[in-house]
Amino acid sequence: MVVRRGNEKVYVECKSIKDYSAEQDRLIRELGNRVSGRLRKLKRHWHVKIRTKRRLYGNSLNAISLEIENKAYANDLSDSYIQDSDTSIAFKKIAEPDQLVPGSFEVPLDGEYGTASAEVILDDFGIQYYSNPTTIEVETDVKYDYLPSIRGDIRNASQKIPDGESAIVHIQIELRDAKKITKIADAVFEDVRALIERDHKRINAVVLCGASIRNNSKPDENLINFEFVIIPNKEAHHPLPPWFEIIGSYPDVMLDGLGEEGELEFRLRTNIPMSMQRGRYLQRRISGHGLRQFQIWQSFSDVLRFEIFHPNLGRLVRSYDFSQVADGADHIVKFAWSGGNAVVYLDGEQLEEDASSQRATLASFTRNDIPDFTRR
Amino acid sequence: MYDIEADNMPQNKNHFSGTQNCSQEAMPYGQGLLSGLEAGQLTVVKCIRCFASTPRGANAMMEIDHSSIAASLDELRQLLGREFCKEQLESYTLIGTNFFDGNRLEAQSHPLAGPWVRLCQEAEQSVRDECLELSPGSIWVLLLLDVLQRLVAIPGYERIVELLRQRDHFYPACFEAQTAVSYHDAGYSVEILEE
Repeated sequence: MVVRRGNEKVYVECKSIKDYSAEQDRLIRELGNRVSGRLRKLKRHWHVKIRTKRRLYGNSLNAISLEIENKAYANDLSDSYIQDSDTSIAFKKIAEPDQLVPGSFEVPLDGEYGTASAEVILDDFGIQYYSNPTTIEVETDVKYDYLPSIRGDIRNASQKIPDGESAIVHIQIELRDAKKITKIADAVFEDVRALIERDHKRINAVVLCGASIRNNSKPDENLINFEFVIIPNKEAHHPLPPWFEIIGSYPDVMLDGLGEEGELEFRLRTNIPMSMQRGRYLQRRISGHGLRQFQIWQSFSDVLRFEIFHPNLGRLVRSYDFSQVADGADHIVKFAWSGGNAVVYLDGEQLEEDASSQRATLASFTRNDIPDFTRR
Repeated sequence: MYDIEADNMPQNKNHFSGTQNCSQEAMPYGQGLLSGLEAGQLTVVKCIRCFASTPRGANAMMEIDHSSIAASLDELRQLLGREFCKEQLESYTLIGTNFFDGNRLEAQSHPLAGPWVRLCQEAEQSVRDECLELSPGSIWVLLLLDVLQRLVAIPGYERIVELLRQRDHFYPACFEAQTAVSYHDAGYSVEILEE
C-alpha cells in the first residue's frame, strides 16, 4: 500500500510470520491422542514421557508414534531414542489391565503437554474406582529462531519498493501471546538493524507487530493489545517525510533530550497501586520515524523494563525488580545512560539489575506458552 | 521531571480498534485463535464498542449489543461476500467426526469457519436471552467487522477482501487490513496497491 500526503508518499509493505508454537501444540496434542489410543487398545497401562529437542513435523510424529507402538507390542519398558528428531522416550507401568484402584484418577504431570485417560466407575456404595489408566507427557526444548523468516520477508519486501522511494515494512508475528514480541525483538533487533543498514537501504524501518486480547483491560482502554517494535534504518537512502509517523510511534517533546548520553528523572506516583499497572507502559516515547525511543514497561511480576534506542548508541534494555517499592508514596526514579551503559536510581540509590527479575520475566513467558493438560 | 503513571500513557494509541465493557479473557490472535476456542469460555458482555481514536481523541466506530448483533452478522456477510460465507463458513461442522478427522478438517478449513459458526450460535442464543454472551473467538470476528467497515473507504480494498476469502492468506490479509485502516485513521490518504 502507499500512504500519501500531498505529493509525498511512503510505501508500506505488510508481511506475516506464522507462530510455529501453535502448530507444535496441535501436533503434540495429536501425538498424545494417537499414542494414548494405541496403548489402551493393547492394554499397556503405562506412563510415557517424551522429550524432544527438535521441532516436530508429520514424519517425526509418525516415527515417535511407531516407536511407542512397537514397544507396546513387545511389552518392552526400556527407554528409546529416536535420532532424527532428537527424541527420547521413557516408559513406566502404572497399572495392570483391569486392575481397580480406589479413589479419583489424578496424575501429577510435570511436562509441558500431557494427556491422561482412565475408566472411572462408582460401585454400589458410591465409592469411586479407576482402571486402565494411560498417561502421556511431552516435554519440548525447541528454540524457535524467527530471524531467518524475518530476513526472508525483508528481502521480499525490499524487492517490491520502487527506486527513489521511502518505505516501511510491517511484519506481524502471529503469536498466541503478544508479550512474546518483546522477547523475539530482543533476540533479533540488532541483527535486523544491521541487515537493513547494510543491505536494504530502500527500507526506512522494520516494524515487528504482535496482537492479543489484554487480560486486564480497563473499561476505557482498548481490549486488544498491540505491541510494536520499530527497528529504524539510519542508513536509508531516502528519508521519511517529516509529517509521516510510523504506526507504533509515540512522538513527544521529551524525545528532544534523548542523545547518546543523558539522564531522565521521573516521579513514580504510587497513589495508583503498582498492581493496577501491570503489563502497561509507564512511559512510551518513540519518535515518528523511530530514530529516538524510550520506554518503561511494567511486567506482570512488577519488573520495570527500561528501554532506550538511539541510532548511534543502539538499543539498551535494563530490568529492575520494583515489587518491593511501597505503594502510597512518591518515589524519584532516574535513568542515566552513557557509552552503552545505563543505570537506574531509585530515590538517589543506584539499583542493581536483578538477574532473578530477568529470569522471572523469561519464566512467565514460558508458562504462558503452555496449555493446560487435557484429561479425559 | 516526568510523572510515571500508566494512566497518563496511551497504551494503544490511535491506530487500532478495541472493545469496551468486554470480557477480559486472554485471547490468542492469529494462528492461535483455534486453540483459544477450545477453552470454550463464554463471557457476558453488555456490548461491544469498537473505537478508533484519532490525534483529537477517541471516536466510537461501532457498537453491538444483543439487539443489533443479527444486523452486524448480516453486514459482515455483505462485506465478505454472501456466497463465500455460505460455501466456506456456514457449511462448516465438526459434528460426527472423530478426533483425527476433526483435527484434519479443522486444519483444512478456512480459519474463519469455526469462529463464524460459533458466533452465529452465540448470537442466536444472545437474542433469545436478551443478553450478549460471547466467546473470545466471536469477539475477535466482530472486531474484524469493525476493521472491514473502515477498510471499504480505502481505494483498492477489494484485493484485501479477496485475500481474506482465501484460507492461506486470511491472517496476513487481516494484518494488512488493520495496518491500512490504522494509517487511514491517522489522517493519511491510503491506497492499497495491486500485488
